[in-house]
Amino acid sequence: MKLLEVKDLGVEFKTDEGAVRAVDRVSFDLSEGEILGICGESGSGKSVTCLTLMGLLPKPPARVTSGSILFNGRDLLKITEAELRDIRGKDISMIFQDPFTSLNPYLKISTQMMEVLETHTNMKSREAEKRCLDVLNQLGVPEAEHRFNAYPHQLSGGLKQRVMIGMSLLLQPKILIADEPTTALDVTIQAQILELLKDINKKFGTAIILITHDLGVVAGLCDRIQVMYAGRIAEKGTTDDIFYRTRHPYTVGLMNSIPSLEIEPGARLNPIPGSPPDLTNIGDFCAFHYRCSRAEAPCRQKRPLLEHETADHGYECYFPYKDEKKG
Amino acid sequence: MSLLEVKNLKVHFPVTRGIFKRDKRVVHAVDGVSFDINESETLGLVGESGCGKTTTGRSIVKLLKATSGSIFFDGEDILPLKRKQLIHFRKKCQIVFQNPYSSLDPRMTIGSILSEPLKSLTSMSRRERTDRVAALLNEVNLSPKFLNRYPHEFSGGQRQRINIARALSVSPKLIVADEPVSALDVSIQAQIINLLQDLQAKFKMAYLFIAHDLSVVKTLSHRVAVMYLGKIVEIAPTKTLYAEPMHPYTKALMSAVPIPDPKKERLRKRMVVSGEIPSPIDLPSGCTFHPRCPFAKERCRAVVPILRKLPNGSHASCHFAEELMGK
Repeated sequence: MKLLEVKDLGVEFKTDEGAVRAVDRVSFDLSEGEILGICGESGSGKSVTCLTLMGLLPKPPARVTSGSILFNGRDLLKITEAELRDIRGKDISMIFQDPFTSLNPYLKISTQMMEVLETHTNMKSREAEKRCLDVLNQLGVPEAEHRFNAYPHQLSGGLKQRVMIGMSLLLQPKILIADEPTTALDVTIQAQILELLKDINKKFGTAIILITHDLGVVAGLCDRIQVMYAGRIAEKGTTDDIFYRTRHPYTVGLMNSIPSLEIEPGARLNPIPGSPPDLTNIGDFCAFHYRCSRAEAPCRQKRPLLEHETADHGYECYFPYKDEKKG
Repeated sequence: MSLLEVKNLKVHFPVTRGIFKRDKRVVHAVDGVSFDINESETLGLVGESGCGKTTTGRSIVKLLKATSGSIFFDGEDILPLKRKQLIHFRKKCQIVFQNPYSSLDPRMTIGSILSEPLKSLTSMSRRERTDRVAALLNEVNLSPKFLNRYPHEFSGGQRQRINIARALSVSPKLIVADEPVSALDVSIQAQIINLLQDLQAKFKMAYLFIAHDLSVVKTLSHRVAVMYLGKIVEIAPTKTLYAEPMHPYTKALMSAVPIPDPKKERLRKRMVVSGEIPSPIDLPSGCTFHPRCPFAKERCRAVVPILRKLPNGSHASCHFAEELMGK
């Protein structure tokens, strides 16, 4: 069953230079127990999409211009702030990129974790404390009791991220949104946190939306992936679709730009020329056509519709790659 | 003769704690590092945050004062040199910083940023400088039309090109590149990596390429040094290091890097190291990696391993490197 259904979502930011279309008619869904990766470069709209799901957009300057977000049959864009607050944290929770700024430096970990339970449940404090420690232990926080009474600055980046994850799991949410959870961490710690997310998904059946710019991270973790560009979904599909049956020229470009451990020293990379477009007043055409080697007249005239090859695999492109050599 | 020879470099920072600052301790940021770089060679320096790679780079260009050791550049020890004597050295050795947003003065035009090193380090006339600056912009694939613009008008990738042009301006023999691509998106990152390769092919300068991303380092480097807690734990020609990492830390780093290929990711056996990097104030006894090393034995806790030559041509500081081959 679909847990979450986003339809035709559009988000604009008002700026002095005009409206920036951060999310431009985006549709996707999330099934129970699934891990969905949202991939894209900075400014592609991946974070804004998820902040909208959580109702965390600063309004103004942001404005939802179209669409609906169905969760359990309810449209998250239409319910009141109080109803949303009830869902947030309990059913859908989120962890952020920067574990260094997302914890309050003045409050002990215990205070911050217990607050979640105090707001959403009527647990007694002893019970709440036990629940917090259980979660921290499950997440492999060494000396959990000691850390629980510490202040954020006394923890390392990896531990802070574990605490953040712990906090978001306290109420056993159905969906966990992880916005670049490992970008600020070192590779060895990143590997630990990714393993942890995998475990959480298996053990508790929590559906995860993983936002990242790193195709390597999604390759090992996600069931499905959607690649975003300029506020739109360029291509979406199962992990194998995206990696082995790549269709959209932008996805192909991304894959060719990543240096991998298997590259020959001194080899030349194959970057995408140019840089992402200005999102103010972006017209009704393919947003990638400026940088695309396959672009032709139609790409400059009308935005391509999402074309489905299979139920999962779709792309917004008039001239997708087939199974030929790409490069 | 090598262009740069670093011998037993130590950079220690004193820290004081307690009410009367009586508790004096020392951060061993760089703790006895030796390596050399040949002309037109790229040495990659990798490691996680806090391992001392940036401190090493900054001490080489004399932005930080080394505590002890020596740095020979073109046969001359540069550590005792004072301000005036340094002009000669600065003409031959330049640095590119990590953050393209904070390393350009927002109040200077691109033209004045690029002619600044020419003004202070060379005796070029105004006319010569203008010509040189235009030529530099061409070298980094920017239009000379940009001369009168300010840094905020450029994207991150373009700013990094300007940074590179500034380093190039005095035709140095060595460029210390401190994480020059880590703040950039993948598609832009690939453009800059290619640019660095092209420039090296054309001008034959050497790079000390500092990065945390093992794949990026592999693409660019002829040799790679891996740092952990202020020491080089392994140094080897790029191919050797990646084909056959000898130090357990190098092995752990490699196995932590996510591979952008789902099938390989699924079949992969990870060597996940537990725990986090210890504090560089209280260094562990013996081998500093022993608390996290899955192969650590009694000897590792007691005896400090020295960097020694191994049969495959690499140098690693592990007592059991030979026995652990292939593990």
